[in-house]
Amino acid sequence: MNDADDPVTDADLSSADEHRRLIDLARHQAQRCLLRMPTPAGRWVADTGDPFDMPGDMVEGYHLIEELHRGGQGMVFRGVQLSTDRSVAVKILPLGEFATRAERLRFEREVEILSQLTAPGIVRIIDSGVASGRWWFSMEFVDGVPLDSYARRLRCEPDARPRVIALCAAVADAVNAAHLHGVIHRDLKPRNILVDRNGQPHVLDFGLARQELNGIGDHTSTMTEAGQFVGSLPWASPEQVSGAGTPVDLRADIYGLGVILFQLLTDRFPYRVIGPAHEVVRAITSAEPTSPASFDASIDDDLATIVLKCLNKEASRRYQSAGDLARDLRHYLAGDPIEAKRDSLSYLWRRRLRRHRVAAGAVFSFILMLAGAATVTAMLWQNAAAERDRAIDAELAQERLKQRAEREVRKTAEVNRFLQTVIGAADPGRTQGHELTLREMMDTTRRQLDAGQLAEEPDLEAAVRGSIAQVLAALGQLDDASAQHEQALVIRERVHGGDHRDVAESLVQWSEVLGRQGRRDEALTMAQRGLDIIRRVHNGDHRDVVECLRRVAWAHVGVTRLTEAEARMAEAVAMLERLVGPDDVALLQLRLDQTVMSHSGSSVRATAEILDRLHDSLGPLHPDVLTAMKMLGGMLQMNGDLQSAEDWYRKSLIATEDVYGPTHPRAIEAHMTLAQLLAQRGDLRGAFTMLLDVRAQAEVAHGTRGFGYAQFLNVLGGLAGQLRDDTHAEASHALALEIFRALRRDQSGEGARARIALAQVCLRRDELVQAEVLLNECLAIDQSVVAPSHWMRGQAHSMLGQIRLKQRAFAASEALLLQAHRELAALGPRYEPMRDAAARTLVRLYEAWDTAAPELGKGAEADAWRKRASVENTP
Amino acid sequence: MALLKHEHEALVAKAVAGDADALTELLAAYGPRVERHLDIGRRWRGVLDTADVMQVTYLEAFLEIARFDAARATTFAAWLHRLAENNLRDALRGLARHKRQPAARRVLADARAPDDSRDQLLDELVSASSTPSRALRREEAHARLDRAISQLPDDYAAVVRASDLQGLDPDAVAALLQRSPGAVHMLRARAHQRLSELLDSAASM
Repeated sequence: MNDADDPVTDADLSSADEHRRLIDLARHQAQRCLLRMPTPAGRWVADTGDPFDMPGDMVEGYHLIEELHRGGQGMVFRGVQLSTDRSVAVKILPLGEFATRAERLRFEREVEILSQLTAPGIVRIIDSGVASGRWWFSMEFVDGVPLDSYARRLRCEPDARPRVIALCAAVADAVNAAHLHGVIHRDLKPRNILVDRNGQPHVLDFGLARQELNGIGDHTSTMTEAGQFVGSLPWASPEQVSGAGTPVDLRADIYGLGVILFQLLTDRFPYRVIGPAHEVVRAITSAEPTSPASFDASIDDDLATIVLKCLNKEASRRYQSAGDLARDLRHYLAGDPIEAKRDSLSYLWRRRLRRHRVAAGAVFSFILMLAGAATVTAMLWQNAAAERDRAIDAELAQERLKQRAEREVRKTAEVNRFLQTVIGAADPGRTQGHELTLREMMDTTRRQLDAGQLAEEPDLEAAVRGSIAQVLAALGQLDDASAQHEQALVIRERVHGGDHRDVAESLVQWSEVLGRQGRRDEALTMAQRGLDIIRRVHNGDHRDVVECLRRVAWAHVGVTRLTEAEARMAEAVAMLERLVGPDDVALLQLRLDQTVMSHSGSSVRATAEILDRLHDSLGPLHPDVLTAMKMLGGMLQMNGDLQSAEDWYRKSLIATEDVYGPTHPRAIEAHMTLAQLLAQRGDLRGAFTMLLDVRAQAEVAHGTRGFGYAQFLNVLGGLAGQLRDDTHAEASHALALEIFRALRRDQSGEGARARIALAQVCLRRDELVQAEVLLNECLAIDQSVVAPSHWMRGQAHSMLGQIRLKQRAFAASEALLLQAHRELAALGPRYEPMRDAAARTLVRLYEAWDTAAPELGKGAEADAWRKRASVENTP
Repeated sequence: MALLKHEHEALVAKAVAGDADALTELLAAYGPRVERHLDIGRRWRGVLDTADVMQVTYLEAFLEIARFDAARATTFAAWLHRLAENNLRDALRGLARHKRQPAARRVLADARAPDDSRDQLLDELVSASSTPSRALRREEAHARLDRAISQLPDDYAAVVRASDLQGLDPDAVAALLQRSPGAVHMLRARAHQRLSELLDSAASM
């Protein structure tokens, strides 16, 4: 043999790893085969017995009971540790000294790696050693079934899907814990994950795992590992199968988790994995995975996106940690937006619309209200470009997704064009300096929708209409908001038929507005319909169902069916707890809702407990903790425990300033809340001084023409008015009203408040005409904004009665004051001071009337009202 | 990996004496170049890969190395090459034979009873061996066959169980075992050869 005749080329070297793998595989098989021979067929095995025959007492200190598994990596026995009498699993490398060096090293490495991992979800090693020339180690015995068998059994149960997803999230957690120790598993598959009787997964078999030392691992592919690769080929990542030189890191495990997830959801693999190995390898490295949704239509886009993100050929486009994957799976379970799609504008629209119950929750209104128009335009341009790139880059993974991506891009472009048209109109050059209001923007958008701008994209049109409705509701334009919700609902019913989550979403949002319009029976009907639909859509626990239950509960409160309301809310809380576990923030927030709704003596304690837990899990400065503090203060205030309420408001104020800074709207809001409490406690001067001190901060927080600033001025002016400081009161309320008018929001509760306060100043100064104009403006505000039963109507009637009295128009004054008294008396104890003031004015009226016209005998009326006023004043 | 002459000779001597590490080293050195000389031909390239041939060749090398006679064989590389060529030839033969069969005969013969399939396999094997099958009692023959199959390398045993005992079509066996159809023919030929030997040695004991 002359090597020089047949030189080894570089090409040989490039395939050397593949050959080494095949040789090791062959060696392994040959050894197993020769060891099974009854006669010495090969000289290697001249004097060994059956290597697979393990006596029960082979390992000192243990009694081996039964063989559980026999594989390439060794044999696993169930046994008992004699010293502790506990069940253990004992893994033995049966070939002993005949094991290849690679097998021995792998076995030792598994021992070493397991001894470092103590995370939940990973089996713990107990001991290791050599017995009769064979390597062994003992570990916790997991009495469970492989993940795929477990998932298959689950399939018959109604909530199988969320449980499977939660299980995968727990597996991802365990894998993440290993990664945090620098350990990559590299052989994740359902058979290596056991689920115990409590439904907890345990990751086993770190035999192929690799430890990254300070991030420097042997970046070779698993193809170089002996023998064990073939069995796990369907779960191997492209970089693992693509041969030597391709770096393999923890993202290979993310890929494996993706295949497992795919398998558990669909009972199939993302590619064809049966056939010649080279074809399977080709599929893994180059075939686009089939979307899981194409095997099961009930798998929605979000879930499919999570799976496909794991299966991306490029490691850099997968989740970058198993923790990220676990988090996204939990987002999905909770109905929150998933990270994998966070860049898609229209996606965010949909999710936010679905999720936020507050009127101003839509992204659109956030953008328009929180940012200047110019910034918004710039931002949208950037978003449009980035969105196109991202959508195209990220979602080409599969043909169906590709088409969807194009549709999404088109939709996003459409939305952006829409917004740009609307915002473009705000350009001072086009509007001759006229400041375009949010209301006008909504009107423009609505007109364009009515003209059929989005007629080709009915689902998008419905989403935009829903969003407009939320902004209009926030502006207090409840009739218009209601109409938009109705149109959105009609469109969605037409597009999706009856049973669709979007239809349910429209119903629930509409129900919220109907409730505020005072159409409470309709609100309940709509919410109930939404709930019925969403229950049929999800057929089990789901975050959407929780949202609907919450809405139905509040709708029941609207029609004073409190028992029903509490039952629904309790159901919502129980369901959410099943979905997200007892310590999830969303659950605590829902519990807050529950305590507010069932307002009782125990609510305060419950709220305090929730606050404690939020504090523990989120830390003292989390926005949700601040909100809970404020709510607790509010409940204490309503319960009359003003001192404790003040303590909590002060804590909340300090924390809010710490978190957001002193010139943030939330900090200003916290000041206002505290000031109102101080006023209630009788410390008017303290309250007024405090707000006067932060007036400059409020200007910065909201801008001098901002709605929030006008609200602040209303509170400040109100305190000045109570202190009879007419100069400050007038200046504050007049400026507030001016701002409201400029923003076209003067036809609102806040506008009414400013007018009443100004009228009061005018009345004290005897500027009766001016006062009357303001009060009539106040009463002319639409009843859908300031309800017929609102205190401001009673107060306005009372003050008009005073004006007529001053004008000595006694009969007119009497009618107004009697109406005012009736209205204010109906409002309950909180408005007693106003009611009593109206009663005292009636006394004065009848006295004056009696003096002016004694023949009418109004003195008796005066006496009667005097008595009544004193009785009413007696607690 | 180029080996110096004295290194090569030392490794061959160790390998023949039963040193698996030495044989591993030799195969790693010569396997890639043997593979380069294999010519599958355009017709069968889709159903057989040179890696399939090498995989079985390496297994045969481990199983057969004790019989390697350095004095008679020209070189270790030539010996390895011959193993590979034999495997390739068996694979191509099997593929061609399977393709020639009318479609109806290529359909799975899964209705076959297990005992019938055992008889058929024994007939096939023993006709090529020196021991007359008729001399054995049926049950005894079946037991001996089962024992021999259990002594086969895992890949061979799997192919025999799927093709001969279950009567699956080679394409179905390929799909089941995640191997190429060509590899199935090759594995089956090697498995039969080894089974014949095992049955012979059992019969002569």
